[in-house]
Amino acid sequence: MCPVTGSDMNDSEENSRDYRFSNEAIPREVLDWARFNSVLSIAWDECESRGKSIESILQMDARVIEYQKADIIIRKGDYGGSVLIPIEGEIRANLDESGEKFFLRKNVTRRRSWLSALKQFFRWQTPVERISSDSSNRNLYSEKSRVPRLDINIEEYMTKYLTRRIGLGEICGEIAALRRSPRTASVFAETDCKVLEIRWQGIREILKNSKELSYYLEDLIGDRRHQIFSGMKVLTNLPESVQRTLSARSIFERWGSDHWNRHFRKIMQSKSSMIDREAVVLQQGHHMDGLYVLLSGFARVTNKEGSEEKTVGYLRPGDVYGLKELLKDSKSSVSSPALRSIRAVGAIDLVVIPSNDFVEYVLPELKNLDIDQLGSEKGLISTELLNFFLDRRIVNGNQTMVIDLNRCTDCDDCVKACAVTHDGNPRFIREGYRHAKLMVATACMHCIDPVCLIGCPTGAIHREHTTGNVVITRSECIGCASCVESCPYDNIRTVEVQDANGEPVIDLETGKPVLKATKCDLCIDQPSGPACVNACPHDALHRINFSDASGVSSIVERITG
Amino acid sequence: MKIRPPHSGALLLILIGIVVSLYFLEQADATLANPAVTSGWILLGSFVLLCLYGARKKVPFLPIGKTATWLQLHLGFGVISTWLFLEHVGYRFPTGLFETHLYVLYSLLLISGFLGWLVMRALPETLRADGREVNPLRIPDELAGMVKKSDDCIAGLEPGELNPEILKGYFEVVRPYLCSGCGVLPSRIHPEFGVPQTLIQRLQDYESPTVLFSSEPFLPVHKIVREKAVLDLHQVRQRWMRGWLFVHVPVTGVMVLMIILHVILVTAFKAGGAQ
Repeated sequence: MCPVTGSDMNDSEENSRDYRFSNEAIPREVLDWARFNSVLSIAWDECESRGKSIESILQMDARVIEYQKADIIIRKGDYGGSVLIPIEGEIRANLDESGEKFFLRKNVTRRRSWLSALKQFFRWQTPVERISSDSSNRNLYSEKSRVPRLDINIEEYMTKYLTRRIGLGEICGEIAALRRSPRTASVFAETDCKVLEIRWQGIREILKNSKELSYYLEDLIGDRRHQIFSGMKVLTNLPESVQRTLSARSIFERWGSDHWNRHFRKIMQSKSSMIDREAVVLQQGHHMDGLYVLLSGFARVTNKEGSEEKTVGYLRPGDVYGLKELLKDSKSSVSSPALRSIRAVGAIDLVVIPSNDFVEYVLPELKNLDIDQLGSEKGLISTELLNFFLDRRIVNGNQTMVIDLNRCTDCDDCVKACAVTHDGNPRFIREGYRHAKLMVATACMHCIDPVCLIGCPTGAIHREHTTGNVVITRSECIGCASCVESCPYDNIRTVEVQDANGEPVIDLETGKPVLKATKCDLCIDQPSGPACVNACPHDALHRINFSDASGVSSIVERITG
Repeated sequence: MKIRPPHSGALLLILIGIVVSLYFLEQADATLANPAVTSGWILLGSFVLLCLYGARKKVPFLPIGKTATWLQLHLGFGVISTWLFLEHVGYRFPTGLFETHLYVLYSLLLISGFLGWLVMRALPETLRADGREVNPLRIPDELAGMVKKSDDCIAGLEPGELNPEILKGYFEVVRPYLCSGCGVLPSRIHPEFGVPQTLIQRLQDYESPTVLFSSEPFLPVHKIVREKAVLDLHQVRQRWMRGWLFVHVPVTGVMVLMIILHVILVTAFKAGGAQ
């Protein structure tokens, strides 16, 4: 398995994309320049020798974007599905955390005032999404998405804050594009510049055909990956030098399928055993080689009882497995085997900190932590319920809408509240997966692994910087429905856009109505927060964060009794 | 049928409300003021609070507490206002026309509210007991589909496959049942056949239900009839869950108007008396 490209790239999946990244072809001079002057030169001949033309990949999966001085090219914390190679002008990465405030997304988290919120109540309700009249005659599909800009003097910024120039032909944005993790640094245009942007499908195809580039990127990522230890419960207090040492000695692994969301619906319909389909990361009874720290995705923890694998817990990013075994090891000379198995639910990234390094560097830090809290067996949830949540990938949710059917009276106050706060158009359906008296409604879960973000050509669907909620910037959405297809839970929809007169806005190029993606935004701009939760008179509707084990078990216990 | 017990916070609120109201009534008594005036004003205050619940439901986007909390306040003040109402009328049945109307309306409001509380606490659990989720808006379509499916079953039979009595029973009893509404009260279901008892009784004029429901060609129709019985039960429960509001909400509106009139009249008579 290649640690950079993932384990099971599927040709049919790769070739299934049916639209080009850009309508405009990559100019010949750009291709020639990239062949000899960019990081792609490492892979060019190797790909050619394997019968794969990088040129054709670039024509399909790349585009050239021009930026003006002070434009924000990448925003730290955002999810992106592409890598960038500067081909003209200068771009810089911001390395100073204190300077990040200048890169924050504007006007997204601004909440309405009470007066503005009350105004919603008196609005006419429309059957579909509406846009303001000033944009009614514009062709939204072909409109270039608005590029955010830094509102400060660039030269002044560069003297005041630590930045690093990204040389022409170098690559950036690869961690987020390949690992489905947030951007690790913000990048801005120092001068007017041109950038070759390659979407993740293209870069993965190149990597599949070029071991050289794969190794190069692996080294590049490895050089920066100690940063991911900061922010983890167990490792956040370690000094940076220790984090670097651990990073160098640890084993970074990627398991499971990157494309789990694509076939998820089919798998669900087939009703075959989910456990059998999941890649086994650690087998129960096998030698425990270190501490397993989950970096991204989610994993199932199982215990073999007779011939049956019983789900006993799950891991989410930042969770660890192996503490019990390693603590036992540290007290005795005999090595204890893994007490549980770990399986990759979807695609996961994890790091294995070798046992010796764990004892030397991590164990002293654990003295002040409650070891039980770091464990993987979440609360008092039954195996059936854990299976229900894991088989349907519901544990992916940070804000999963769960309804207590013992209390729900079908009054639809939650749906009405959602409609009132969204121009008369509710953003969720009060139906969904059921387990006993618990229902998971068809509402955006604001996932920890938001696969809907991958492939959005404009970045309109993104993780909101401060809260982590997944939101769609309406002005940037071009209605391509890539997020709708990517969401494995059917929680995103497209709706026709109407102008102020109630007429559908027609795309001048295709002659078809302009669409916009729509989904639950957790009432991000409302003073109350999620209106659905507020509106339920019987306290039947809850939002569950599956990282909060005690919260999950208390709500589940209340519902299931 | 299991009823969820009342919220402990609501019970505490009722207790505090009664104690505070008692204090004011005692104060009024001590100063030789008319206790009906004191209880009337407190009653008016609690009624305003009760009405605010409806207004709160219309503005879910305002950060003024969850509607669930407001509902508990609504229930608590509902109980307090009942006691205050009885204090206000002096624990007697009124004799005047206007106050009789107010008394009857208040009783209707109280009974419908109490019924609503019972229904909302008891029915959701039974509604989901069979694991089936029924959207009330889709029920007419589902019923129409059942009639068509059952007609198709009968039309698909070979001539002579069903005896004429069964066919007659189908067209005169079973089919009309499939086309009929669910009514207001739940039907009693026959434990053996899973269909309403009334249907069994009517079918006995045509063919023995045991023979009818064990008849091989009739089995698909029997299955549809059982489904209809389940659907009817859902629909009846859903009607109950919404029906009480058709009394509670309009009566509240009329009560508001009557109370305003009552306050104006009392104030006018008081002013007249003072002169």
